Amino acid sequence: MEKLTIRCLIISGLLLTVASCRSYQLADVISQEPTEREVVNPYFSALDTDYAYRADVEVYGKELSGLFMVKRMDSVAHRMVLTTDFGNTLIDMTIGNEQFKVNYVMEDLDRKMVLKLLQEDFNTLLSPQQQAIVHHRLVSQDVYQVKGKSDAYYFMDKESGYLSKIVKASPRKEQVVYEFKTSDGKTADQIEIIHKSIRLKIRLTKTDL
Amino acid sequence: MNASEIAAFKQAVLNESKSIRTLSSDFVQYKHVSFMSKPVESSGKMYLKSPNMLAWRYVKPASYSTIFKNNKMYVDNQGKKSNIDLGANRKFEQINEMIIGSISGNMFNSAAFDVSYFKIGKQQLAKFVPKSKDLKKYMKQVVLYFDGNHQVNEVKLIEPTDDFTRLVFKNRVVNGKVNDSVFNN
Repeated sequence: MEKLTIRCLIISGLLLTVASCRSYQLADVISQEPTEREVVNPYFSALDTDYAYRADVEVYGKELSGLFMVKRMDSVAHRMVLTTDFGNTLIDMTIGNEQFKVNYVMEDLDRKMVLKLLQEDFNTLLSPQQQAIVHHRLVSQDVYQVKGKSDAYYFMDKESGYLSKIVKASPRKEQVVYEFKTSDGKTADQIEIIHKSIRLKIRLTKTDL
Repeated sequence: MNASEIAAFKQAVLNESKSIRTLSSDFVQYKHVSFMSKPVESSGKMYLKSPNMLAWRYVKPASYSTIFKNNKMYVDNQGKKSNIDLGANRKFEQINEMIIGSISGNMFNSAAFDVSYFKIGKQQLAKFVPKSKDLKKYMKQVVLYFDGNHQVNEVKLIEPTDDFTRLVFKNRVVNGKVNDSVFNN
């Protein structure tokens, strides 16, 4: 199944280059202004803390499930592992803004396109803080826009202050949506990473250690 | 173990396994990753029916099952069902072959591994090192631990990175009633 998954991912990666005509716009913006605020993603930011999640991956109608384990190793990098249900390691990566190292990858997954996709997805998920440039005020959320290869929009719930969503978007369209369910704003109980250009969805559900 | 101890051990395992028609057992799976301070734990129940039906029914952290039957692997992930070619998970396929092999008594004769035998106190263990380059990419070593009755009570699967998975079996029932329905997906 992994081989099929790879094939799907590679084909999907190619599809990423097909641009949509729709432009990405936030809905119901009340106001927007420049900001120098640092936005914080607290969900994987504690140093030396073990985080473990059950992972369910849906790619082009195929399912793959396993475990996702991650730890913030120092101020610049996280180490993460994705395994099958039986514990076989699929990929083991060290990942940060300035670094990316594949410590182990199962041969079937060792494709440039797949590694790039995983690097980008998890770099955004794990990155503890980013410098915002624009503050968009919505009715119930404050959205902070971070400039990058693809801009990232951090949605903070006005009432609770919790990070509820990150959207990565090109100037033309939404690319990846990260949705967080949290009860305390510090721990993500469930995370969904949904790709908009390819049929790939990753659901992470917190598991106790 | 010396040569005569190995011969006696292999014969004892073979004698024990010959009588086994069904086996059920609770299991706990511990995934050890070098940078994590604690292993991640999963648990459930395993059922085996000679010659080649094997079911892993996980209860924690979520309900899902994997069943090996008719050379296929059937997966039920919280109600989402699929069946998969056995070749897709080669490492675990090898583990299952070995566990099934431990019942048939054929596992020590596998051409795919170099096997060595050890005794630590009352615990006897067999280490399997894959011979082929292809298998070595996925698996560094598999260790089977045997109890005093010459039955496997723990499996340790060591990966090329030295991260490993331990499967510990408890509450084994030999030749109890095992309904065929546990092997249905």
